[in-house]
Amino acid sequence: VCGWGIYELPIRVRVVYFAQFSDAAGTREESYELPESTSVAELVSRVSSAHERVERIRQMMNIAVNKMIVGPGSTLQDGDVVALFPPITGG
Amino acid sequence: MIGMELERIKDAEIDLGPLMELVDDPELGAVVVFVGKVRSNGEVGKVDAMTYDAYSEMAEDVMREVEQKVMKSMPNVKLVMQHRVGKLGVGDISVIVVASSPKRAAAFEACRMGIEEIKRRVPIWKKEHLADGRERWVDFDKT
Repeated sequence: VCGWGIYELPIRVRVVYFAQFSDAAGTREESYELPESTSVAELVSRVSSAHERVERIRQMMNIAVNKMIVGPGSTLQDGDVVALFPPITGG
Repeated sequence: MIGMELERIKDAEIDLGPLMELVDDPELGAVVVFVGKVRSNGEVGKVDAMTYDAYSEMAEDVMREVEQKVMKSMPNVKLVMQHRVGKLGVGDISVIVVASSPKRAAAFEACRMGIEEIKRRVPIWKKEHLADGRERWVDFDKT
């Protein structure tokens, strides 16, 4: 019998882009299906592969997961909203 | 919290009147207002318009958090802030910060803290539309 847990269940996250990152991705929002326990850094690599222009401005990328600023090592959960944006310039 | 129903991020004109009402209190005799407007001289030339982009859901949370933090650290102060998004022309109001307190020193300080925290922490970005037709995002280290 094939036990549960042998296969990694996919998770789905919503990626939203702002300012230069929205221009570079050519969209405001996308959905990504990822293996369970994917890190923010791994997602960023996927996004950068899909969008060459995002890769080019990657060094200025800030990341928020569910509206909280996070580092690249954070692990993603199903249903997370990941925002990619440049440093804040405010009003 | 004051102004529970108030949208801190708005895609239409922002008015000082309703914000003044939110910090109104017969015991608070000093009211300080900061108004930020789109200016015509940009970093690299004359500006015709400015587009403000925001991560609205997060910006709402951060602006409320900043107001709460300031009011907690300064008893008797009331602070409320509102920021406009979308494409604005030169002279249009992009941000208003209103602080009230019994005396002027605390109101000035709270108002200053509010606008500085917007600049530092609220996820808003701006793109200049230059008179010569070019468009450019304003760099974070030059504002």
